Amino acid sequence: MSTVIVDDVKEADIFKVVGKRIPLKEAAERVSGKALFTGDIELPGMLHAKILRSPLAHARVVRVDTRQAEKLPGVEAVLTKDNAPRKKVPVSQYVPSDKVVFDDKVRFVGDEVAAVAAVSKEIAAQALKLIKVEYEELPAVIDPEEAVKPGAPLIHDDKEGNSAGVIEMGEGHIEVGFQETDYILEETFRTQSQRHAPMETHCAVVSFDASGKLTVWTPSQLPFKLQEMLANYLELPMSMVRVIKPHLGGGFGGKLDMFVEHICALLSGMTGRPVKCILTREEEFTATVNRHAYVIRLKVGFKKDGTLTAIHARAISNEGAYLYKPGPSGLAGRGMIKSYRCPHTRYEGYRVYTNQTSGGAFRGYGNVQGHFAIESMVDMIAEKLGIDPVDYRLRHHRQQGDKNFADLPIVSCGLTECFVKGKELIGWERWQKTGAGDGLRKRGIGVACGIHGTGPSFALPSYSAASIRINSDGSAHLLIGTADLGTGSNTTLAQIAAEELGISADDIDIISGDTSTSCFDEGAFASMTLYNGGNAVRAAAAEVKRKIMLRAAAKLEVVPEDLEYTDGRLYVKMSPEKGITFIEIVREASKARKDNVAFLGEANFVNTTHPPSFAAHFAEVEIDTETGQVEILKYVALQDSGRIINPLVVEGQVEGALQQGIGLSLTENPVIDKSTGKMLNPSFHNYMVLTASDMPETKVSMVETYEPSGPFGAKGVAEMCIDCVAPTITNAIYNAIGIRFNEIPVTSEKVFKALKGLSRR
Amino acid sequence: MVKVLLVMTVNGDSVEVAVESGVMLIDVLRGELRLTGTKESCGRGECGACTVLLDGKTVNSCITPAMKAMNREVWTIEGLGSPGKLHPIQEAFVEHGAVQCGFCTPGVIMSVEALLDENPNPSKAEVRAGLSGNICRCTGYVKIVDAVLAAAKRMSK
Repeated sequence: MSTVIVDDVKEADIFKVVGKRIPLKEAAERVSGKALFTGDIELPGMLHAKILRSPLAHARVVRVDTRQAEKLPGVEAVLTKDNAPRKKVPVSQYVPSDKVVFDDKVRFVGDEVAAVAAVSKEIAAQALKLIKVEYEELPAVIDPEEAVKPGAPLIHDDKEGNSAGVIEMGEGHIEVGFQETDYILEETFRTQSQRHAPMETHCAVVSFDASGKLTVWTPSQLPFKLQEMLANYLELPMSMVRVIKPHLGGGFGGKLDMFVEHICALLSGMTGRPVKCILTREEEFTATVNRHAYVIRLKVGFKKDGTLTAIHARAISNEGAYLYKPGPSGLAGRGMIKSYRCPHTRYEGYRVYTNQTSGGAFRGYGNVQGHFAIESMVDMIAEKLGIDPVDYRLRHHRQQGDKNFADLPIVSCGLTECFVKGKELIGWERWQKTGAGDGLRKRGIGVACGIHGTGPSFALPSYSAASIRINSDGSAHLLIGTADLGTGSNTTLAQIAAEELGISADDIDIISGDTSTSCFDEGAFASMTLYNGGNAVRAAAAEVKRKIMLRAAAKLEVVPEDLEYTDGRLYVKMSPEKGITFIEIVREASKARKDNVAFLGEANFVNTTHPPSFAAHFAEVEIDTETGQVEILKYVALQDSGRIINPLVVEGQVEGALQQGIGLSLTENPVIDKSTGKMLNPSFHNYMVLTASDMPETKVSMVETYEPSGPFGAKGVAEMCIDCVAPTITNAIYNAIGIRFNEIPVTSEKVFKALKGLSRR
Repeated sequence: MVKVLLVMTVNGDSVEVAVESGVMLIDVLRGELRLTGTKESCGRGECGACTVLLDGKTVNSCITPAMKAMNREVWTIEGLGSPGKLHPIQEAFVEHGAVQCGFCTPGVIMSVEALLDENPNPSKAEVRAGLSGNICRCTGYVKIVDAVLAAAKRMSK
């Protein structure tokens, strides 16, 4: 079986809506400032909440004196360990909890100590200053490599060695692999705790109605899981908790957890009034979650012809104070031991608690860190053997017929074509061996590639459901549980419904991200919104179509099997002139007051196969050897995400991932004080995300394949495009100046020091 | 707390608001006037999400005292166009896919309005420089720059 590469011209003729560059349905609202975000919601009598946070990395909270704060006019409620529920509660999905909200102990700078609800945010902020907290400071452990040492301070009394769990996996016999080999390379890699930095900080508005039902407006990536977590925390039946996601101002994995909703709900319960809380930018940087920082030891064995015989990876992931997401450790491991063909592999992932802000889900979810290590290593192997780094990858990377991260066969793979097109776009014929350039400004070209599953690749099934209702004029409502994070998933899902039904995407109203209107959805993460949701939507639309076919067949006096349905018209196969349109059927049914309401389709989809997307990235860099400044002259990203439903949306995803990926590689550097555990640069002024003038010239292009299990052949997009950015850039830097950086971000300062021989790398 | 009467023009309409001293312009716009298109993201003048025009020049309304607007003209995103009648810049943003989550978008568009007012035919580099005070975390700016160049072309016709 060979990979099906979609022929652009031929396929474009078949589809009317799929594959079209349709602007986001919400775009007009968003450009005109009319889109309602959570922070824009005002309710009568609404209070504003602020949270008092620990200035210490590790301490017992001996006493919280709130008397002065409570006396301040305008303060309506104060919440501390003395009146909050004393139980461990899940604040993140799929994780057994290790957190008591407002605990007797604080475990990082930013941990919650108290919360105030007041008539204005200013009074709430003033009240925080009046709360007196007596701490008994404890020795803190900031560095994960220190945290695992015997005698290190214990962050959770029941977690010995500060272990948040170990994951082990592998195939074959690693010792045999290293015996059968010609060469061995071993390197240590380090990655930083990148911040999501969404433009909208975490926030919520909550309100109880007279019946005791709680409504929560919040920018959540998983409204249904949040509903479950809140119901559990508040001891309410889930039917009494409604979560609504308004427009969401950037997620990237950071909005999967519960940071403010439960606190607002408690304050609202205490006061009987609606409560709003919006985190400050500093809180967003320090008191939510970030990308897990990693220390990776990677050892590989390979033969003279390049064949890998053994890959042994060990990783310490910095989980921070609480375990929010254990998954990245597994995905980092899979990225390192399952991207390339190799008979003997072993991975040990150590999740370690520290007195820092917690690690969470961030676009790539461990695969970013894993790819940085393996794709750097593969470059070293190719160089050692004198093989072109593209050729090496083409020969040894897993492709069609090999297993994916869930150990299932890869069915669709356009990696080879990604390399072919990418080489052309970057001008690979100009690539030379490292250090070929001269002069003060040295240029180099780098390459890396990647693989990322659609859905959680640790083989956890994920679920989505959709329902479609047809109105009497032929327009439709599409109800789906998944949350559009601003990516355009609503638009893309509407395109899938429109294509299946043969109507215009404009005629479909999509209602998503509301736990009271649609069925359970796993949430918008793991690159699966389009794949899971799209499969559910297409099946729901097919169900509507089936009902319409039945009615049309009766009308045309044929059996449904004799009918063809194309572009909104149903006609008899043998005599195409005999037909009726979709809209005529609906109108007629409506007029007859018969069964228009029955034009309802519902379907669900369970993702068990996790088909991977692929990418090949190329970068050309120029380095000023006097200052260490790295300039990316051109960045080329090729991606196989199956069939592209909406190129405008997909290109936007890849381009956005490059902004985050280049920042990860070069500039985004959270500085954590090693003694106090405090983040020293929690602001946009000091934590450098790329601005418009920092972005290089980019060329994003798609290799379209057909994934049989995906809606119209589509696979995931969002994470694949960030996984291989860092190694692409560090490989290019190495190619330019012959210095390999195994630690990101590669700031100008680091390059400068390395060029002057002043530092380890 | 003593309140002072702030008189200003907002989106072409003259308004009078009683404000406390020290209140920032964004709080008057979003709070008293309920013009919530202007967004607050950093509260420190570092990201541009709160950008509005004060006498035609961009300001970060989160660090601009409201009283600075006394007897002056303020334009916010709501004054530019509405979903049914978009301004050419807004139209170009829609068509070119320059909008993802949309939280930075109002501020970005106000910066573009000021940029094109001053330089109706900017180069790509000038557009990038003109937008460097506005952070976007979704788009990588690529389609934003495309949209601005397209809008400039359309508006110069």
